[in-house]
Amino acid sequence: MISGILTRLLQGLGVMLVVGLLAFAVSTKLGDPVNNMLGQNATIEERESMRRELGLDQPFVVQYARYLGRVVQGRLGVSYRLGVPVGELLRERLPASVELSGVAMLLTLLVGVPFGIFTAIRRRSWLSRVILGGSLIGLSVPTFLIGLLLIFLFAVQLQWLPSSGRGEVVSLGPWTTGLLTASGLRSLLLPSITLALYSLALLLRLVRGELLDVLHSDHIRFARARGLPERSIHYRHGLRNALLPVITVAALQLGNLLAFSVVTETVFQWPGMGLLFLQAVQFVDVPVISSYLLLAAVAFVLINLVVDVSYRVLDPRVRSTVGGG
Amino acid sequence: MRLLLGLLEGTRRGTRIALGVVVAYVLLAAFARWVAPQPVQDLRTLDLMNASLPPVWSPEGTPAFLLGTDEQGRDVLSGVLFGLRLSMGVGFAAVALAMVIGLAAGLVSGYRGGWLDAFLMRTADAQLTFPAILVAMLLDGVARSVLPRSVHETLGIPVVIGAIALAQWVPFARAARVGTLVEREKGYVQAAQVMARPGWSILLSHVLPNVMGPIVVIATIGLGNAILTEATLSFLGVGIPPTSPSLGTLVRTGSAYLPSGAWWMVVFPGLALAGLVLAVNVAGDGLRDGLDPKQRGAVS
Amino acid sequence: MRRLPGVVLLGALLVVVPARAQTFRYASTGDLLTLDPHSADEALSNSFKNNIYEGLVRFNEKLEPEPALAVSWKAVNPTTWRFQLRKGVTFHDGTPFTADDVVFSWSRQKSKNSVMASHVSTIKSAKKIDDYTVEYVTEGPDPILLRNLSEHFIMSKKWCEQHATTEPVAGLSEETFATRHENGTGPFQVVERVPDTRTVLVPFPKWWDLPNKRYAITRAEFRPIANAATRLAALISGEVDLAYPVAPQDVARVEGQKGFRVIRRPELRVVFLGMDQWRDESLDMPGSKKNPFKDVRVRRAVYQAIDEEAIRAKVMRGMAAPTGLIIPENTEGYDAKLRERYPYDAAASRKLLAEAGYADGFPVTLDCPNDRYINDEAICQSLVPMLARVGIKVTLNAQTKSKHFDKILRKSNNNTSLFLLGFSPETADAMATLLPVMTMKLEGSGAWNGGRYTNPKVEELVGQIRVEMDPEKRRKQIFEALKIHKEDFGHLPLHEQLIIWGARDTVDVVPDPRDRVQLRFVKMRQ
Repeated sequence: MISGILTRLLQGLGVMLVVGLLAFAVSTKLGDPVNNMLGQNATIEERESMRRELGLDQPFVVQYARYLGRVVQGRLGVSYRLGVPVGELLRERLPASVELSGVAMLLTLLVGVPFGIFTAIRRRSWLSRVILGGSLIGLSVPTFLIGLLLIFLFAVQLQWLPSSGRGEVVSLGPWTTGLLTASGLRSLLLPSITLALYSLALLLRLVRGELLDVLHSDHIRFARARGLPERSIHYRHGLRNALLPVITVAALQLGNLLAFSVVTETVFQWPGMGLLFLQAVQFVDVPVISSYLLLAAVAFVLINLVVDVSYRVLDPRVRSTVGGG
Repeated sequence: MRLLLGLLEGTRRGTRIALGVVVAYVLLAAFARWVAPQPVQDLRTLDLMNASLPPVWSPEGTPAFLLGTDEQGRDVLSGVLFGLRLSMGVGFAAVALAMVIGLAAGLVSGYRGGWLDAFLMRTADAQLTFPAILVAMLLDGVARSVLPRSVHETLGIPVVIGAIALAQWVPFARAARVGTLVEREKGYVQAAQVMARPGWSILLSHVLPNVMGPIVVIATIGLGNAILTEATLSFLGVGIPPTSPSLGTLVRTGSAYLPSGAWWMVVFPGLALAGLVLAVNVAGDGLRDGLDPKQRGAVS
Repeated sequence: MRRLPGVVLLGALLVVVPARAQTFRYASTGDLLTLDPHSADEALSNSFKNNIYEGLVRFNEKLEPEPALAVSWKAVNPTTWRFQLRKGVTFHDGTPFTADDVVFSWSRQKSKNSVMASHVSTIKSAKKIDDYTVEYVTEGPDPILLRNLSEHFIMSKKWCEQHATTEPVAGLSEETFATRHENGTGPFQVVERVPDTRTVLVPFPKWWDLPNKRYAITRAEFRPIANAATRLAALISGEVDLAYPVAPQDVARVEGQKGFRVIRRPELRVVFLGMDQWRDESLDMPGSKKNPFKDVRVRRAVYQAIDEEAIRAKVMRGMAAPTGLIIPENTEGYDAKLRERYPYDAAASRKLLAEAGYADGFPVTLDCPNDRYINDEAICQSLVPMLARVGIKVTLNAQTKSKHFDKILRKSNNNTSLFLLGFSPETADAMATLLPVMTMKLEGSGAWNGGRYTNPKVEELVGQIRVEMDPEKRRKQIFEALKIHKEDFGHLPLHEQLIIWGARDTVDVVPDPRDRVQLRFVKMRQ
């Protein structure tokens, strides 16, 4: 098992290096590297010394190594569009995205899992059918459309909730949170529902599928034959086995949330990193694009690594199969 | 053909209805030019005085524009039909491309094994970490900065197709690989090998047909995803250039008028899109059930 | 004054609340481009200048000049003016204001990179007589010197020298220290500037006019919100107290909301199209050796292909005033006789094009900003089918205003064939448009003449208008110049914009007809 984990670790590192290479290529080929690092209001002397520091006359590999070094130190360049260091921008926008994704993840778990269980246990009931139908719709309607419709209904027609922004935020040191104010919470409601819907539907169906499989497996049939009460079968035997792959998928959904947050943040003008990335692509703000790329790679590789490791640790049967995730 | 009919036999009525809906969509889109009341791509037919009209059942609506018009005077119904054509075209092309790439990778990987197999599968794993949206946005950003404006307009569609295909090939590859691994051990393949038939010939004529079942199911589900991804990219403004609007673009431009109450510009393209993807998803679901009755409706 | 009953007075005393922070938050479509008063001549940036910097004179609410940094002035002879400067004025950093700063600021605003040069172009020299007296010598008699001086902002010589910004930068993609920092004498100072996010101002406690202050705010926060729907949402949810402009299609929504109102007033701005009239070969027709816009028939054809009434009714929802004259009403020199538009006539347009040799039309790129004028992108989009109907194939290029201005103006060598612009004569005098927009050959001219329109007779007239002191004669000359320009189809006017401000009822504000939020006139009621 250790070797398996080690392999995954190395693979993750490999992915990081490759993505790093991509980010490096993007930042040098698409933009002026000196401008990337200093912004556009630097003096001639500053430019010269940066040119030397970047080693623009050095061979590719050396430049790449230096680039990685800078990245590790957190020196990600200066945004073309805003003239502000990219690191600062990311730090400023991180809390908004994290809070949004966090609440969405919470919704996904708190609603998806119980509903999934319910529809598996009570297969025949009409409520199950309704929920299942709803989940199918949740998977088919694009996220942006859901967001727009929610805005139209709750913000424009009923005027119960705000249609954009985070509301009032409270600064706690480097973090800004919307969770401590009424307007902040109200502003979180529609975007998090919008973001969570797809993952929720997916998780629901997955839980249901896994639980159904397990409930009909030999293991359970045997328990039933032994005369154990239904509820005990459902909860202790069925659920525990079904939840295993579900946990891994839920964690992977976190990655999806980070990606789809771009759409949600655009619809609700949520000042997070997703919106920042979109604006960077539209403006061709090279330093932000390449930094975001790196950040996303780190996040995804980490998530996958944790998922894979926990999978191996929790379920010994999995160790033999190759190519998990 | 036989395979498809075989799949259909095992399906429920709901699945067949869904498939029918998909076919209806395809026909509508294919014949959009003849069905649509207004040829919206021909700018000369637009009249600004028709702008922002509500659907026909509202007091200010007119029968000329059944579903209303947008802020430039374009008929919403026609826009939706042409947009469907574009969205479906891109979706089909992307899935087809993904299928080709995935099949090639999976078949070769499963047949040859060894380091090629390991390499391809590691790449697949790594690739899975990146959601299609980010990949496509990045590609668009690169294209935008590297290509001059006019070139970018013409290349816009292929770039989007490529980006989506790049995000979707992995499930095809996995399924093809697994299927190949299974078929590889079977007698008829080994017999062919003994007869010194070339590898690719064996793959194509023997292995491929047996792998197609799950591939078709993956394709149906992938189609739904591809259409959603394209619509999302267009909505964000980094998809197909707005000169030929897809459904996502229509929603984006219409959304500016939502606060003033012009809901039809957003709702009708959105419903068309959702309806299409729903039908595709149900069909895919049903096909998978038809393929393996023990599986229950988890879509992934 | 009636004597208030003692009870009421007492009650008022009891109710007096200790002064609380009155923050005024407002938002507009785009962000100000720079804090350097000489690097941008764009309305939003200009409106900020009035809060931070000042000139020797300033405008009151009626747009008439009144003393600011100068207390009095006198014409020593027709071309020499002596200004007595105000004593006891300090810059935001504490340094005292003297004649040195005035002389320095003139040479900075006049320098070749300055976009504001036209406002001081008639001043031949500036001389310090003593610490508080300055003498200007003008090229010839200048009837609007005072008006122009309201747009001539005084910077601190010491500060500029200290921070190596003695000259403004050309274009908006480069920067100096003055781009992000300010040191003016004005009523407010900038305490935070995050481009594209937030600019925060607080009152300047040592402002010379504090005893007569007419504002009641303790802090002002400005945010750019490009998306009209988001801006509307921010206003209604209370995130901002004033949002401008409100998109025409959202006006009904704001007016229907309790506690809010929409302020509508004609703006001193005309939105028009400009055309490349100097290149031998159009940028969009490489290899053809032709530039369609050099032919007046083509220019007229484009004009008559545009259904401005439809634009007014549908795109602007009635909130625009179509005009055929490039200067707006309420400007000195405006004449209603020139306002009428040529008729919308697509058939006539096609005929003209055929006559000019373009029976099959021609391709052209239309450059348009998407975050500057009211529904600017929507206007441009509506032009595309109209021009298509007469055979002209338009490719729309809409982008953020900083990139748009950089593209069509001198910085990029007027890299455009057809462009949308909205111009406001900020000094309420026709010269403010004649010089930068309609001429090329005079001192300080052409800064906003993206198509390089020039007509020798117009140039001559404008040279005369510049020094004509007799108001009647001057008006006749202006009329003549505008008439020639109109018959030349030098530019294609579309309409006069309206100011459309959405505000909470707790905000008391006087809208400047140049669409400026003058913080010194803003009051927040509790």
